[in-house]
Amino acid sequence: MSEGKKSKRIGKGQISFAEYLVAVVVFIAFIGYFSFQLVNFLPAYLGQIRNERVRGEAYQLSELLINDPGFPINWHVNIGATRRIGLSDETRNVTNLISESKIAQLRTQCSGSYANVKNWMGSENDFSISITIFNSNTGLPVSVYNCVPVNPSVRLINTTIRRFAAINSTHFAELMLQVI
Amino acid sequence: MITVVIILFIAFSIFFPGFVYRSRWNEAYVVLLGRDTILTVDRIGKLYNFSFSANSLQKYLDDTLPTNKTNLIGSSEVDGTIKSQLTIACNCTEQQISALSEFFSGLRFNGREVQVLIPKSNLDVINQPADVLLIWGYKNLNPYAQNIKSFLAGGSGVVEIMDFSDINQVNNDNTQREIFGLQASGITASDELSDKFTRSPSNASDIIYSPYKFFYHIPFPLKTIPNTTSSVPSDIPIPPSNCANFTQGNMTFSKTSFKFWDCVSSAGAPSVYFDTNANGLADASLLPGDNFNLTKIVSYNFTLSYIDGMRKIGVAFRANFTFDDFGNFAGTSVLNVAPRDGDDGKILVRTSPGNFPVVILNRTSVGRAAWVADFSEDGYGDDEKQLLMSLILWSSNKRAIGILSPNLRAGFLTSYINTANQDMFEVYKFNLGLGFPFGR
Repeated sequence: MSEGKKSKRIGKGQISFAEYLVAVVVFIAFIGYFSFQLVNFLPAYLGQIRNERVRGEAYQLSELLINDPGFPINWHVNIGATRRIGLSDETRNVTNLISESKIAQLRTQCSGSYANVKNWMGSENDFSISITIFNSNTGLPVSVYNCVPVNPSVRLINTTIRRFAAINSTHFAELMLQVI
Repeated sequence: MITVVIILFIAFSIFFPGFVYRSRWNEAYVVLLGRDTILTVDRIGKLYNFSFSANSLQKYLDDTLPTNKTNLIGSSEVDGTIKSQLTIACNCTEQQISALSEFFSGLRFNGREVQVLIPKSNLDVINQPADVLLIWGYKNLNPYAQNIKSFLAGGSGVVEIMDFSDINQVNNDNTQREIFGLQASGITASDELSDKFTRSPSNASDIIYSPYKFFYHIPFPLKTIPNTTSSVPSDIPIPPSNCANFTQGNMTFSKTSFKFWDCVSSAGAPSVYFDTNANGLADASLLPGDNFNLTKIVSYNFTLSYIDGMRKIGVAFRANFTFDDFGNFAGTSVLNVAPRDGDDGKILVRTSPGNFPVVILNRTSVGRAAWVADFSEDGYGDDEKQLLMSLILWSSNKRAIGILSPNLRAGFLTSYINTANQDMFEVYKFNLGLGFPFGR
């Protein structure tokens, strides 16, 4: 075998230029593909995260209204001492049973100062609450209470959640809460 | 080069599909609505009614979660209690089916009616679907052991009303031995006078708990004849302004008939006038919930559970009741039948003074079975009907049954343990399904 032919041979553990080129192309294509995917996905992902945050807040606020009596538990007759608003009937202390007098007080406070209500609910976002009271025997709406911000901010992301709770044996309420 | 990159991109998109964010908020929201719906319905006191009435539940769902706005449809099922539509496959004569229909006619407890369908069935092919198999009158059940076992495997029960004349009729019959758990030990001359429950149940898992509870708590429906009268023969003054028309019925036990008069058009609260000493004259004015006793032979306590205003009242027996020769054993020879495993706790009712079992229960991995001595030779007392009814209800199939059941393709089930205690403490599982009529 001649010396010249020996120099063209590739030793063990070495790759040819062509192989190197293929590896680089594959690597670059791989990085490019994932970068492309990431760039496409990121805005949608961030939007979904914001959505989740708003949904989570809507759920927390609805849970606070339906299943928490507020603090103090009789805040509706002691409005000066109110720290937190909740509509749960403190005399029965069971889930999904709310007090009609607390609903009425919420409406009064809301029409007086929405900012106070927002503060008592501990929410950073604006929200609107609509409570419809139904007659449980007929299934027909009896009255509607609304609590909406004075100048609602308009945001792309908002979430509405519907909850149901009983008031007494003859009435139940549908609570619709929208975090804006 | 470009071609290679394109090929690689396609390959990557196959092997490494793009990122997808799934929030599952919609699913969580449907679960939340299901939970809110059940709790709200429970708080307004309508859950028991909605559990057994598909129409009421559907109307509520239409009012609160209308399908045209939410795309949600509802389904419901009830698990672990007596069905409101009960099917008793009866291996018996036409007369016996007719009598059984009359026993169950108007059965109502905890405010709900129980409708009973009684198809005739042979034992070669047991009528399906059925919640209970009733075998009335002696038959050699040995050839049908496998059929009955298969029937029980579906959660249903079997009750037999029969007397045995020969020891081999029990001991050589696999069905009697394995399914009913019976063993005969000999024939004894007897002059039995009365029959009593052997004991009170010790806890809810006691085999006699349910039949004992049903006997003493489910109101026995008593109907009056359609003819109306304007007055009631009575020992007590009955204000004429209270009622314009009465219908008369009979309550029979211990072979004695006690008359009662149901006020058909009451100006005030509905009331019933009862002849408690069997002299043909009313001597007690009763309102729903009132206790009374019948004093002709021995004093027993009863409660007037309801007056439904449609010529029917419900009377609940109160402990401790004594049957008057339930098995009609007086002056006859009795084959002594006992639990095969020697567990006397399975004996629900015994005779006195001979202590012969007349009702024996058996609960195996296969199902529930009850043997009752034939009480029908000398007519039927209301107490005997009540005991048979209790046994049939105890052994009946209580597996989940769809009440409101559209074709729910995709959805979420919320389970809730509910109780009712108007006439009888009843515990069951209510499942509410909310979902979509299409897959998501």
